[in-house]
Amino acid sequence: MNDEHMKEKLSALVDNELDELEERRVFKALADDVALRRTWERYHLVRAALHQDVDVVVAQDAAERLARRIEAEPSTAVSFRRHRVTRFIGTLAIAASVAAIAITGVQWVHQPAPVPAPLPALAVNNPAPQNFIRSGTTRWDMKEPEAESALNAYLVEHDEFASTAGLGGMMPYVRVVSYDNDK
Amino acid sequence: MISHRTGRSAFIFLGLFVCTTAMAADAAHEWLMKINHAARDLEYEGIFVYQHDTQLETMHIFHKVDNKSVKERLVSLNGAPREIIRDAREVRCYWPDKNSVMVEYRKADAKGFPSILPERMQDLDEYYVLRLGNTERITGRVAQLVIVKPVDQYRYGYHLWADTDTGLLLKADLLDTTGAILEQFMFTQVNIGIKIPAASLAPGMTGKSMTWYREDGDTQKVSEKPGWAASQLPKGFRLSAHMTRRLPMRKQPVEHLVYTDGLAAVSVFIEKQEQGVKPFMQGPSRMGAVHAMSARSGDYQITTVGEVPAATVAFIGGSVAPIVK
Repeated sequence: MNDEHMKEKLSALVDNELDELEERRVFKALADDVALRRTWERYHLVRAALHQDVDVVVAQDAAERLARRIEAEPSTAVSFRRHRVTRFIGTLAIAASVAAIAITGVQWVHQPAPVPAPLPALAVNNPAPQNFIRSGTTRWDMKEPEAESALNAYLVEHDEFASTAGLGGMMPYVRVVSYDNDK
Repeated sequence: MISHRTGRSAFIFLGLFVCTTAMAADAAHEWLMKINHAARDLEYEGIFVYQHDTQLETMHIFHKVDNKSVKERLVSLNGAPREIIRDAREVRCYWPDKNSVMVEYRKADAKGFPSILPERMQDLDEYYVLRLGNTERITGRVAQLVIVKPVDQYRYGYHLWADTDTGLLLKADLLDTTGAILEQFMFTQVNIGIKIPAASLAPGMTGKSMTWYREDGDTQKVSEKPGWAASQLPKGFRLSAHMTRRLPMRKQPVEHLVYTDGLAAVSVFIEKQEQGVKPFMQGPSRMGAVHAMSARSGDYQITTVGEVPAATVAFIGGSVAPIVK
């Protein structure tokens, strides 16, 4: 994949327009390429600026912090050097956390398991790398339309009692409105 | 005598220390209540951004107060113009991209509008550390930061920026158990205390050609006692509401239980499934800071939803069982 092509893909990634396979490919490239990560951060900044949301925290040193994080986790590096599959999964987990660092300026790895154990070493062993990728969408992280419509009806119901309802009125309903149906 | 005096001064010193901490928490409590009242009583209109994961959305909100009755409208400014209109009686969701309108009836009003109840305010101190942060400038206004930090892994933390003049929440961060940001809400433009024309509360679409799904208003009865209960709850959570309702789009009546620690809330929905019907969902799911989990228990589907960590949803949802009468 040449540079220009890759930049197009990055832009599409920022706009959430890639399919899963392409996303995976781009995440892998991101994990391997410092310059590419910087470009990606810039795209996020541009996107935030286009949305006139100047206050969104976009960390400019995300790539550096990511590099430091990888250095600080020798166990992760070792475990995913063992064989190809685990290496790939490890890369995905890290790529997903690049996204989190770039956007929120903080380290965050989503762990879909019921018990919160956001340790990178566990993330590497997690057999469901797709959850890391798909967590970056506005949708429920699943694919069954019936389940989603049921969950949305339940969510509207729940929102009346949600914690943030007492703080910002409509705040919890924002999630229902922002819900992305087109897929 | 000396020891008695030393003991007493130690006691006074300790008392002073407790007082100072309590006063800091009290100030934060006052701000929470102020935010709570502002969300209900103020008339305002504004544009805000909502961010979670890698998504950024822009929305327009209208909040009108007439003789103490509140009407709200929320419109998405990105993509399909989805909107929600809510008043004391019902919640209407317009989904033009699904060509459908869903109407649900509100139940909480019987128990009072505020979901942060003053009588549970002191309880909050057991599960959260509340304190005030600095004042900051948000959308051209001065805002007071209120920090709400959970004491365990079963609830999220909040950073809340309230308008110092009116108490209106101008910005909010939801934080996970490691302190990382999960979701952000922030006004980029807001008009507080203006008179909002009634027309602003009307939906942007008639909904005439759309399919309407209405909750069956006649059959919604609050049963005397819930038929189900969670047998294990994280510290501080207790049952705050229960009802049986007929949800739009669902065939069977649904029992709805709400557990709260005074701030975080978890809903459990229990729905009878017909024999041989595949459950609509199994296992965990997530959207932004909301976690959900669904499991089958005999003939029933039990779905747990909440703005809490996945562990809390699993902990509560996994323990729901019929009450033996």
